[in-house]
Amino acid sequence: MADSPPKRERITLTHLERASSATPSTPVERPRIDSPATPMERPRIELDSGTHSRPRSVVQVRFQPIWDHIEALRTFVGAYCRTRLSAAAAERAILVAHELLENAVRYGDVTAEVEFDLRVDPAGRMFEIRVINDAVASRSEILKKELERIDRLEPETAFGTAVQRARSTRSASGMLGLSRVRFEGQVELTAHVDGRRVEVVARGRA
Amino acid sequence: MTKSATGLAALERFEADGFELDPVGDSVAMRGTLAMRDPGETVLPVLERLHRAVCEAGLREVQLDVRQLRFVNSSAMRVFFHWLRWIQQEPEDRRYRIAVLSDRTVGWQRLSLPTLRGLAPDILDLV
Repeated sequence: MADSPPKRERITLTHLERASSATPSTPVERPRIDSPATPMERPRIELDSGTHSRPRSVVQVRFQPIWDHIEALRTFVGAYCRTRLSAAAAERAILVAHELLENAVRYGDVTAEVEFDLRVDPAGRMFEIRVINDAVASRSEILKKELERIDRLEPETAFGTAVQRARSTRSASGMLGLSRVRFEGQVELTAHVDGRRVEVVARGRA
Repeated sequence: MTKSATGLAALERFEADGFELDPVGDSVAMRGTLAMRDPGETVLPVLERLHRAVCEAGLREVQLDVRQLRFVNSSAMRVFFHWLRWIQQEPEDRRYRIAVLSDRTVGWQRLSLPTLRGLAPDILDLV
């Protein structure tokens, strides 16, 4: 057992805006911030109805990393999100949930539980999916490097290069999922690596 | 047409884990969800048989209807990489095109199929 506390690292991918613009759809409503007329005037922030509501947890599940549970959770996410989000956003949430869960089950410690948390804001404008699991050390490093790689690229480019790479590797772990989640799911990805503990959070606008 | 129908007619409809592959005439329809743990063990052999049947039938084009394929996980996407590679590895006179019938309202089809096409623009047509 190491005496020193495990190193905590946080990686945040910040291309939500660009990811959202990759597929023109319904304009995203955001809080309106009026610029100050003079330097002394404080900005006036107007929140429209709903934006004050933060995503609330809909379901939190801890489960053994068994493949069949992925399908069960994906089905639940789809059924629930279709009642709260647009059909397109629900579809994105399904993809995000599946891919993050698949990563956790496929590459995580088989003896440790996986935590899954789905949050949706009451106005149906945002969803958040959080998956926490224990990974072997080498896998944590791979995850970290992949997140850093895709953070440097536009979502579509990152996905395209991941496809090229996955095509040329024989391994099933082509690391295609994360860049696809970011591009197709149009989410902001945040990862926390705390020793063996890996937490991936995906936030998307509906 | 007769020759091609004979080739694909030899294939049986495949169904597993919510995924269905249905060869009809010169077309193949994929339906459901393609998200099993090991698609390389389940779906890939079926696609390989399909590929061989198309080549033996001398088809120049196969229509792939994925409009009712609602979800594909990233692991399963790799089976498409294999399929494209098999075609590319064939002698030129045995290569064929895949005309993909897609539904742009389905996210993965709208966003990922163009990327897939980028791997083999001379083979994959999005119609």
